[in-house]
Amino acid sequence: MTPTITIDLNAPIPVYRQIVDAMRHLLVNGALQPGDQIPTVRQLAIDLGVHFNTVAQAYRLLADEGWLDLKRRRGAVVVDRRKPAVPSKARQNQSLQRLRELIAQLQSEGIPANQIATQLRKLADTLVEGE
Amino acid sequence: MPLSILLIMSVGLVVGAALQCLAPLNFRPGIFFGVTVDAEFRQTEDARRILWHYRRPIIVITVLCIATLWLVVPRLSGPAGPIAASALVFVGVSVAIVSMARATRHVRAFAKPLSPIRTVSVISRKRTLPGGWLPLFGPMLIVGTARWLLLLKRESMPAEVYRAALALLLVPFVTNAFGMWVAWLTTFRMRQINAGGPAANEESADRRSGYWLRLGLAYFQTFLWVAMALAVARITTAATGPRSVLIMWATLVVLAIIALVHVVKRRRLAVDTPGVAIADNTPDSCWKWGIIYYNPEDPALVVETRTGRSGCDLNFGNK
Repeated sequence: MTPTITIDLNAPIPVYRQIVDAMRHLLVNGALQPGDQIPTVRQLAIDLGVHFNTVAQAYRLLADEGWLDLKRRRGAVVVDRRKPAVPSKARQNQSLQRLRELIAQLQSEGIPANQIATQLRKLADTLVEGE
Repeated sequence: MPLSILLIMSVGLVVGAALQCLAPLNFRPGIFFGVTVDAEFRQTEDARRILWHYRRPIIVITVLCIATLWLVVPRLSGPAGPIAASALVFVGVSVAIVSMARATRHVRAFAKPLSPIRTVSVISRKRTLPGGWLPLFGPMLIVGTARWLLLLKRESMPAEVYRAALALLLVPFVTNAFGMWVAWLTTFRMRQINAGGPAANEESADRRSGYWLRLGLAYFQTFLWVAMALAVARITTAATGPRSVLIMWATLVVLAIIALVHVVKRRRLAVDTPGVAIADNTPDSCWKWGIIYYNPEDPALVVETRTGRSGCDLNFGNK
């Protein structure tokens, strides 16, 4: 199946952030493998109907994280990313804080706490199975 | 006016009207008279009613035009006859345009808002010209060969004949250069609407057949102009005589049949293919009369046409 990303142009999250999140999800899950050629900035921008700079910014972020090798005019290639070292305690706390904020946001949008917990448990199970 | 001319004009009017009546069948799924609608809208009673209201004036005016052509035009003398006959063709075409505009206005009541959700493939699709670069350059090579022939025979013809032949060659040169640019744009710079699966394959097949159809027309018009240029220069007489006219018409008929088969086949495929993308992510408000696209927010220079399936339109708002 072709790996796809879906973005919402009306969402409050910036489009470049949505692209990064969606592509990172594909990269982490192995839907995009090292050596896979992803579309050029121009092509993805045209397909999505967003500005070139938006896609370029997303690609740069993914390249900084070590997922992509950007090639001028030839698009980008997924690279074999070495497993990063265990992040510092401060970085871990920061990430957990982000997760708590996200849960708070979901609750504020009216999603019941037990439903969020069920989904998180499911995600955790998938995560452990994938290890 | 001779009877044969009246007969040809009548056939032309009928064929023109039939093509205009069939034109709405060529819209992509989710587009109806240039307006974004639900994919199932075409099967509704409202769509059938709009379609009938579009076709009715075309049929009526064609019948009236043909009646006028046979009853009034033969009684006119001098240039009045041909002028009246041309005016009838103009009236027929104008009514079709007005009818199309009216139908578009009626369909707007059923327009669907553009979804802000975009799904795209993140695997780079290899884009290549169908058949490679040689068929694309073919018409230009023909023009180049004709130009070379003219150059060889330059000494044996008067200067004005040489200039006239060159002028005739300029037409296919310019149109083919433009056609090649458009072919390159539609192949390498056009938006992929469907992210994957059978719908994406159908979209690619649609583009390929559209490309071959345009290329066929490019070859046809190149042969026509080159043959005329060479006939003017008296290098060949291929463009004169009834045989060449017959070949020309036969080619046109074959091309029209291929186009029709293509339209019907693709239409059936579109109905049978699940998940064909609805519309094309271009807002209705950015389309003027369904043919001019102006959207400064859209990075695409070429977008799929609204009034057909295999064509393309330029984004005049592209920066």
